[in-house]
This record gives sequence, C-alpha cells and structure tokens, in this order.
Amino acid sequence: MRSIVVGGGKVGYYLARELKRAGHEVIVIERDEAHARRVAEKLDIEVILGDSAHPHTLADARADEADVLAAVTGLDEENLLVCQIAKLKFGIKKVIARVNNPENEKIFKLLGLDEAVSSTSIIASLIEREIGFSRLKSLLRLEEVGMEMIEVELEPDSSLAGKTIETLSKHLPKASIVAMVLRGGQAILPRGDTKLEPSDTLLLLAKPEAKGKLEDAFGKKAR
Amino acid sequence: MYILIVGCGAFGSEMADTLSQDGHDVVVIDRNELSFRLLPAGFNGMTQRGNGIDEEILREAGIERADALLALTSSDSVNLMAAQIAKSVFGVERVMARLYDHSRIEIAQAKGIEALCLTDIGVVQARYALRLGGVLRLLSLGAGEIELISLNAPKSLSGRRIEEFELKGKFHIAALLRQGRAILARASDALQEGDTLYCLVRVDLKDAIPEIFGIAQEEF
Repeated sequence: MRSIVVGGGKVGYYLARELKRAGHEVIVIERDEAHARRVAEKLDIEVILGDSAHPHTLADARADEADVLAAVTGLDEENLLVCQIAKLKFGIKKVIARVNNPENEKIFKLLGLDEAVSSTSIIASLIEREIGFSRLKSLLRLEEVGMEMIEVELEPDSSLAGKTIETLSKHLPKASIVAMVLRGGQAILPRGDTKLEPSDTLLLLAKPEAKGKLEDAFGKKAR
Repeated sequence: MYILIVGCGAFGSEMADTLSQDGHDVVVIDRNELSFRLLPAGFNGMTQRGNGIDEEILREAGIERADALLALTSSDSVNLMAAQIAKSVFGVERVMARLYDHSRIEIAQAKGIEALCLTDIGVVQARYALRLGGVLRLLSLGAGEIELISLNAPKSLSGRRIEEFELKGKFHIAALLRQGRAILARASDALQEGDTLYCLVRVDLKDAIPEIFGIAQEEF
C-alpha cells in the first residue's frame, strides 16, 4: 500500500517507521528541514520538504497514486486542509487527520472528515481504563451506526450476582443491550433467564449517550 | 448586517473599522489581545479574544445570529477552517476567506466559501501599476460574465475612433486615461498614442481583443 504521512515530528516519525516496517511504501511531507533530514536519514524514507497544504507539494509526493494519507502535524487547521485537498484534488479514499485539540474532533466530523484521531482523547481513555475510575471499558466504536461495544467486569462480591438478565435490563438505559456474558473463558449468549455470577464479564452494545446511565447502573470501581 | 471578522491584523482591523463605519454590527476576533490596538480609538464594534476556529469562541462572538463571517488571519488554513465552521456548522450565509495561495481557491469554492485571494489581486494591481502593456483584467462582474479590462492603445491605432471598435452587447470602450486624467469615452473620440483604454468585454470574447482591434497580439 502507498501511504503519505504529513508531518515528520514525533508522531509522524514513529508512524512512518511503523508503516515501513509493516511493508508499506511511505512518503513523508515535512516543512522543517531538520525534521525532514532526521526522517530521511534515520528511517531511509523519501521525504518531501515543503508546505503540505499546498497541492504542488502533494503532487510531488505522488498523491494521485496514494491509497492512504495521514495528516499528523501539530496544527489542526493544517491537518484539516491537507486532508480536504487530498480527498478533493487527488481522490485519496482513506484520509486520517490527527486532532490536537480534542474539541476539534466533533468539528472535523461535522466538516466531513470521518477519520479524526485525537491523541489526547485516546490517552485520556487509556489512563481512565488503567486507573479505573470507570467500570466501563470502551472496546470498540462503531462510528457509522453510532454504537459502542463496552465491557463491564462484575466484582467478586457484586450485588448483581444471582440476578437474571431480565432483572438487570430493567435498570439499564433503553439504548443499551447485554450482548454477551463471558464466564471462565466461555462465551454465553444471554437470554432473559440467564443468571449472573460473581466476576462475570458483560459485553454491552450501547449508544454513546447511554454511557452516563450505564455508569450509574454498574457503579464506580471501589479502590 | 451582523458581521464577524476573524483576525485583527492590518487587514482585519481596517475591514472591521470600515464595516463598522458603514453601519454594520461588527465583532472582531483575535487570539492576541494586543492585536486590538490596531483598531482606531473611535472603533464602534466589539472585540472578542480567542481562537477563531474554536466553536465556543465563535458562539460567544454571536455567530448564531451572524449574517456574514470574514476570515482574515495571516494563515490560509486557519481562515479555511474558520470559514468552514461558519458555513457548515452554523449555516452563516456569507462566508469569505482571505487566501494567499491561489491553489486553495478551488477547495474554498468546493466548500461554499468565497475566496478572497490577495495574491491574485496584488498581481493584477502590480501589473497594472507597472504599465507593461498587454491586456489586464481588472475586475470581474457578476458571476464573471463581464470583465473590466485595461490596455494601452497601440501606436498603430492612433487617430482611429472609439466607435470603430464598438461591438454592441459584446465589447465597449468605457473610459480613457490620457495624460494622467480619466475621461469617459465618446464614440467620436480619436485614440492617441499613450492612451490607456478601459473596456467592458463579455468573458467569452476576452481572448479576442487583438482581433477586435484588428491587430496582432504583439502590438499591445
């Protein structure tokens, strides 16, 4: 696959390195000469020195032949513009923008950029998972259908043990459903009369707006 | 009109003050409080400190009731992003972005944004000021159907009359610049060497100017 990485700073450098290791053809665009040289010399990757949000620079990077473009500079407005030029002028199907300010994640989507990655939000959710102030682990976001797959682990002394899925469901928000119960490495497809046991792991499908109520239903993690 | 201006540099501040004097309600947004010093003491509009690509800041500046937004910072990408937020998120009717780079006009237009390419305008003005000859496009009227052009009358046309070149509905010599003074062209006026002609031309004929004058391209 041919990919273009826009921005040769820290994120761009490691992304380009990983893509190359995975066997992709990579071209990096970077406007700073020192950064550009570092990528070219250390990674032995072709680097185009120039203003990425300029169609000529993208043409130099053979954008018309690229399958993927990832814009990962530190400026959100640059990342947005590069992705839009890549889509509109060069017809690159898969474009991904890094979002530096998490507030812009929503804006990017409203402006038609579906693949916006906010490192700040990712790090925040990882930390959240590690320190566990939430019992909900977001496993997967199904962006297109507006659903999330969420994992919840019951405590060994959970008050939900012994209750049926039917009873539990009465306390869950409407926009959510228990899709699977994991118990001792086995997957159980839940029915209304399935009884919960201590330390069960539940996989839920839920709309993002139901998360607040799910938090309430399962309680915060006690530490 | 209620108008938001993003960027209070030399251009933004001048624009804000002019529009405010024209009687519009103007709010000018800039990240840097010091930039507002560029506004004249008598400025009647409002200022809002903050980033013009921040939804909240735009909201505070009243974008929900704005009739127009002009993005006039020194960064093309900031201007395009602010303009897109205004257009696509808030549905502002008139949205304009200042661009330096000509090649980005296409993107702006694809997003329903009016591009104000200062480079293009500057190039036209500078060429005009240099009086290098040739046909200069000064202004595009309407959606570009008619153009105002200027050209220096070639020596070979001296003595010929304005009416000889008139093409009804297609080409019209509107004014002359003669010895530093502009005069409205009359049908019977004879051309003189050194005259600059201001002509209105239908856009599909703009490449046919030499033919209209019956001369070769090189004579301009």
